[in-house]
Amino acid sequence: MISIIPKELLTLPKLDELEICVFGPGYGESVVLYIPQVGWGVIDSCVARIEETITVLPFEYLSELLTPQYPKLAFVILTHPHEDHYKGLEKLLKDYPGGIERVCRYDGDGIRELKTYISTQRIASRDVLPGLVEVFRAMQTATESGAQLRRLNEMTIVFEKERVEVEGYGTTDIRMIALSPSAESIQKYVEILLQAVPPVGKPVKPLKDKYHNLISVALHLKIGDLQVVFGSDLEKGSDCKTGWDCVIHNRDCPDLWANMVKISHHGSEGGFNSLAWKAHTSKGKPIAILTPFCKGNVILPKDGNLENFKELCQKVGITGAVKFNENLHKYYSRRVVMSATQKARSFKVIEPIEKAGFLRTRLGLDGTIIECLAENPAKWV
Amino acid sequence: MENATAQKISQESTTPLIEDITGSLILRDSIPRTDPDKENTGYHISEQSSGSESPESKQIIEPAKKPIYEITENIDQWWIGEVLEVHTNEGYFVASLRDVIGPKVESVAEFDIKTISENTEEVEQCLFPGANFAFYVVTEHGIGPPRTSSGLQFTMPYIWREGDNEKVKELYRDLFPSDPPLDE
Repeated sequence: MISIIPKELLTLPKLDELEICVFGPGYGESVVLYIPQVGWGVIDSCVARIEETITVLPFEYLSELLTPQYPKLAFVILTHPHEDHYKGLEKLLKDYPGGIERVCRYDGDGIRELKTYISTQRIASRDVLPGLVEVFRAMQTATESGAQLRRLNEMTIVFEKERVEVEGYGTTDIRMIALSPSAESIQKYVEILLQAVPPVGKPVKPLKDKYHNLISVALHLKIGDLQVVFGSDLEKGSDCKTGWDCVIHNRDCPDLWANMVKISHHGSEGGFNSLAWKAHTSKGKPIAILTPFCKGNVILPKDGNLENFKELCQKVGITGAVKFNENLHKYYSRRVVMSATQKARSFKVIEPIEKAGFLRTRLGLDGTIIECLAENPAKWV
Repeated sequence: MENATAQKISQESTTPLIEDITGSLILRDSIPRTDPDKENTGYHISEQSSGSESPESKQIIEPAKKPIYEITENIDQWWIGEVLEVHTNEGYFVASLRDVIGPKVESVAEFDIKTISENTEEVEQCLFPGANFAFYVVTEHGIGPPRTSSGLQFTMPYIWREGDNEKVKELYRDLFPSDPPLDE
């Protein structure tokens, strides 16, 4: 087992501190939270391959930090079915020793069609969304072991507690709600999934990855004087019916000012909604965290987008960096390099990471920043 | 007699070719005659001494059953590729590559569309985002110096057939046994 927390950081948050720890090793994203009077929770999961070992980051973090007492996890949330958000989740669901109170995922209707889509692709010998079936099964097992299954869409409650006494702070309401997906987004998603089953005589092709962002669950947490927004991969949306556009125009949407924002969609232009950010910054500049993304030639965030966030926020953290190496001789023999580079017009290796890293923030319920640390290769920019 | 080879002679055979005990065909006239004083038992023993160069000793040389060289092919490297972007106008596509053997790293590569095939219809059918392919480097050893080559192999997409919808329902039941079946 690879240890990801340095010894000096193996400290628990105080009972009146909100902790948000974000992992993003270059492909993948996961958030581990501690919420006073609610407990520990996880939003999404990711893995890192370090020295030939595949480490499920939220599971490893909780195991190292909470050992030997493993309190029940208050919630585990899957925001949408992208591999970089669910990889390793089945291990957390099956193997976390303390058990889980709530297992939450994006809304119902699309799930059945998604499962049909997966089955259809498997008939065509294509393993789309690898590992997702195992995640669904692990969720089912967790609910059979006593966890409550909660389906999340716009304005549904993940948990809510009123007039809770928090030692060191006083009385507060605590609430986490899902801001998305909207009914229109779900319908659009279902239609797209149904179209993936072709008529007889036509080829079976996989869906474009981006469609799964339609049903992404963005979350809003309110506790004490704090508000935190977790953007997942929700995109800016259009016509007030999808994405952030729909969230902002929802009559029941809470005030979206924020002390802290987990930036949507890896800081991409497609995830940036100016109205939403106007709301986030309406009471002051928040702390913002984003996770990088790399697939093929798509690398997020782009430099220009990062500069934009630096202007909007008091502090921007990025959880990792993707590095390419064009020196193929480091990995392959001369013969292989010569032959491969004759065939390919360009060829670069994604450098394996040596450490996972994370960004951890601890906030007092009155808004005080208690800790704002970056474990390498994560950094504040 | 050293290295004697027994040969059976068919007395009634009139063909010039006869079969010896090993199954090889030989000319009748090539068989050395036996001692006329000895009874002709129907078998003719030809005398062969080891290393004999005598023109009287007839040696049957069987054709070689195995070639004297073999061609072998070694796989030097093998990747599973997934097409990420297709730029038809510019004539290339972008793919992620995952090592099947070797250092187990992930890579990103760009290939000319022409490397798949000159047949545009074939390319149109098998090249799309999400398509999988194999990219390999092999070395052939045999006659002459080793020859290294590389190639891409795409599979044609699966064509949906009558009855596949029923298969989906069955597979759904297997993958998600706790869910209500798709018929409902």
